[in-house]
Amino acid sequence: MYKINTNEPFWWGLFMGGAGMIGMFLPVLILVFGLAIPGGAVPPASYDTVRLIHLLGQPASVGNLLVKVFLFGVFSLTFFHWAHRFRYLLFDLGLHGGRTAVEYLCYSAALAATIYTAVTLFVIA
Amino acid sequence: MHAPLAPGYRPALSNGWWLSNRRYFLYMVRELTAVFAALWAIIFVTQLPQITAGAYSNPASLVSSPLWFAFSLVSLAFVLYHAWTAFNATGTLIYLRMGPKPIAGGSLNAAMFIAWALATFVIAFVFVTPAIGG
Amino acid sequence: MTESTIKLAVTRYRPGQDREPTVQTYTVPYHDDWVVLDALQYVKDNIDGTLSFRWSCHMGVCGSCGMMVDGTPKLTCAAFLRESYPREVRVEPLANFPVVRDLIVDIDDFMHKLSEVKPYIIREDLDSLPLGLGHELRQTPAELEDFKQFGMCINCMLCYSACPVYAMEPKFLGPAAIALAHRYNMDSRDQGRNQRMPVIGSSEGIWECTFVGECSVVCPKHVDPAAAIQRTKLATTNDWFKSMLMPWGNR
Repeated sequence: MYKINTNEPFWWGLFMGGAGMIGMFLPVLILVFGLAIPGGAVPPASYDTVRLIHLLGQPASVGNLLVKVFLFGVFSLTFFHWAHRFRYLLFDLGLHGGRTAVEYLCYSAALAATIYTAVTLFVIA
Repeated sequence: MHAPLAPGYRPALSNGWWLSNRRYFLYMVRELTAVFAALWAIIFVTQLPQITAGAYSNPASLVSSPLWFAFSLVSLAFVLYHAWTAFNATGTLIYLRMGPKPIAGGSLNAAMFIAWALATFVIAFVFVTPAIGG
Repeated sequence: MTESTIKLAVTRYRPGQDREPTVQTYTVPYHDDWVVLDALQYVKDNIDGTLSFRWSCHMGVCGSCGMMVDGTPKLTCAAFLRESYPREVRVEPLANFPVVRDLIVDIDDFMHKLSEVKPYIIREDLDSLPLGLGHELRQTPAELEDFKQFGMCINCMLCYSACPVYAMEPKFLGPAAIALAHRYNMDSRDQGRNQRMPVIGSSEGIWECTFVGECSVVCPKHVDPAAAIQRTKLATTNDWFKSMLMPWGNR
């Protein structure tokens, strides 16, 4: 094999994972939980019976765990996708100095958001 | 790597370079989609405990507010644009050849869009249909 | 009857004399079938012999005559005056490169990067290969298909000129060099991938690229350097995760 001087493949791998997750799943999540339910497409009486909400509120079950793992997978990769794009976005906009610091900040923020999501899903909700 | 031949002249790129042509601009929009995706995701996560506690039935909650609806609408537009660019890049990213001819990039892109449509339909159906007493 | 003419706004830069490039406008005859290079040659022959520019074949093969035409990197032998007529044509040196004089840019950086990625077939067994008639390294048309388009590159550097990443980070290896490296990595006869990847996979190789994609748009030979770069990122990432998860898997 060969050696390279960087861990970029790791971050790029997360970035690509996030690109897929955002494209595949965020539109429908936003559609359902940002537009359809608040917009009244789902009648008020059935809010609590919407399966995702129902499953999240349930005590531990297979369905409950699957929903949590699914949401964790989508959101954590979304955060790392953001971190990767955002550091280059800042560079594109003219922030050419302190690239290492920007990288640490962006990926740390993604990590923090990921931990927060894990705690919310698996401990609080 | 090399010093330019003295006394050469190297013009600098202005920070507004991405406004100089349409494709550069669309590239920046594509990069910006990640901001809306992540913002929507993190806000949704912060609201999850309230949602399971019935926030959608409570008009005073954030997720019942017009603000959330409007933000979701904008986010959806950006996220759909992300999906469009990402799936259309599939054939650029993946090269597959089985037999004498490589699989056309357009076919790979189309496969992604089909998978997306299926996933969207199934998830919307599973999540929105009532779990009990349906 | 008066002959129709067209104005040519040409960037001049005389080292040691000008601090910054200036624009000089020439009026040249307009012909339907003239390209920008024809107009520049008319200026040099008939109006101003001091105007400097680089060209060679005048037929889209050599890759020498790349310049910014109306703000877009083009081969001036393939950019027709009629695309701008009756407006004036703006001719500038290729963007993102140091200007040596007038329309001539310094290509040393690119030439150096090109040699770094070893764009030629590497064989580990070259000494023991019985080369010669009947001992060619054979390749099927299907295997040729794997890299053919990337080999069409003529090193004209229009892609570097279109690349904002190269403009902001001159250390970036850049589109053409990576496309040519990819061409040899994908060649069934080549064994040099492990020698190229430390250069291409380095932080100054593929990872600076954010897939703006303009390199592939401006390429006069329809090479897709953006695809070469993204595919190399994917391959490098696969290799990286494999070597992390299965460190014993390396040869």
